[in-house]
Amino acid sequence: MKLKLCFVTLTLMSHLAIADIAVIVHPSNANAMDASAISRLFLGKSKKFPDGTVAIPLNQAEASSATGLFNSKALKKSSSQLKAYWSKLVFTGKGTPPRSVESDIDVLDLVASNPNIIGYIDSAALTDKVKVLTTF
Amino acid sequence: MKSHQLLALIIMSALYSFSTLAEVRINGFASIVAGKDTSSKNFRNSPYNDEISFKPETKFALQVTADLSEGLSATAQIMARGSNDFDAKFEWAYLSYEINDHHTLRGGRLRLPFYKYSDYLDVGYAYPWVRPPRAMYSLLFSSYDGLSLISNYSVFDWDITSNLVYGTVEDTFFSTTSPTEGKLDDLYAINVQFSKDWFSAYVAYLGTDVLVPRADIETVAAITDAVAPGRGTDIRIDSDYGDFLGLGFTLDFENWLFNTEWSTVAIENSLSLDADQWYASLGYRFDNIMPYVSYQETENKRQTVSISNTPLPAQIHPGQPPLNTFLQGVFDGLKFEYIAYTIGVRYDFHPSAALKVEYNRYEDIIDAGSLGSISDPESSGNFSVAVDLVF
Repeated sequence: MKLKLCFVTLTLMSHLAIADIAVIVHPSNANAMDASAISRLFLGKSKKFPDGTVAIPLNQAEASSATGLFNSKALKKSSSQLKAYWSKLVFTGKGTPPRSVESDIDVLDLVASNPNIIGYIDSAALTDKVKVLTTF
Repeated sequence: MKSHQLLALIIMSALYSFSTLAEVRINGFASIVAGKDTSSKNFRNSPYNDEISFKPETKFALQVTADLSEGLSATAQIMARGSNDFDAKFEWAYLSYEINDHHTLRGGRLRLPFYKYSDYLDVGYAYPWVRPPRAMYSLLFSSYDGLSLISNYSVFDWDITSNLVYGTVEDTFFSTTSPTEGKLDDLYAINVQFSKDWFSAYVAYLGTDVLVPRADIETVAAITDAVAPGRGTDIRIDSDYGDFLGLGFTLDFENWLFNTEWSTVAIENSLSLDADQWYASLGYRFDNIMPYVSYQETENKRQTVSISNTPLPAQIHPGQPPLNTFLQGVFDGLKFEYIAYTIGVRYDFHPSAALKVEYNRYEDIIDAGSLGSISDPESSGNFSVAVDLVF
């Protein structure tokens, strides 16, 4: 009985641990990007895909779990570090953070409709309307 | 059916007008700071005294950016400072044009790129401390009117950003001790920053003609002219070349944050001493709590005077000292040297707000008759508490 409970707990824990974040683009977007190139786009350090087309990164709302995971795994920053980072740029006119939308569904719809947009969603919400660049 | 068409028309026109209107963003920040000196003697580089005060460093700012598309945008930042009775003033107001992916040209009222934290000096949320180290961040002006060309490059994974500046400053200098309307003309500056992963560094140089006819300096210059005709200009800050050199680096490695900066400031041919300043600061992040310590130092170089050994007339100085001895005394009296220790903690208690508590201890380097202070304490302390917000 104890063993079973233990097993259930472990399964639950591992489920939590593998809640992945998928970075997605339009199926017609042929660029390959590694973690560092993706993080540069979302930090405003670059503005284009490797092939030279304009990239529009899309965030999710600050409170969403996808955003928290993406910030810590892909950008390697806590939410307050990220806020400090953007306040340096915003209040000096050197950059603006990506726009935010409310949910995985919103990101999916926008990415599926525009080859310039790059976003991230909980990988459980993936559909075949979009292409996965990488997962974290 | 008709009502549907009407609705569609309204939506279409709404979309249409949206796309032709400039997109406007509003951001803001605020710092509420309370401080108190431990000594009733007034330390020159502390805006506080021995009673708790909220005014010297509290500030509120709103920034409005209108994106006019095609790379053109207009930004204005309006700030109300407690030290200025909360009168709102434009700190920044400029047009920005993205020439291409690498170059952005800005024109208007901008911030001078002296130090690492110059650009966001007032955005407390962006740095660990209650305020950037005072020994270093002590220049009397921070904005200029003119042009700035910002360029970004990426070379072997290094991000390189340069800022070329040309403009003028018209401001009230020494506003707390000896308010003087002054000017900086033909001001040019270059600031280059390098960063890669957890390392970043910068170097900055600024040169300008300085005209600040400060009353006490004018008095000494008039005495000099009376004794050695034509030499008063060696004392006056009358369009003399002044320059600034600064450099520093930051290590932001895992949970450690280390910062150090050094700078030197000089105004040629005038009653002013060359000054060197530096600090080092180390912090460690425990999740949302970050304790930190800093060490700061500022010192002057001694300047030797040789203008004339003619004695002063008795009606100016009864002792009738030779002019050189008199001037040497004035120059040496300007020496202002101290060290400071800082210990503090930042607590990110909210996604948009941080609470900071800090203690600073100032100690004069020169004792007896020292000028580290207005009324001459050999050491002094200051407690500050701040809440910084961004929105």
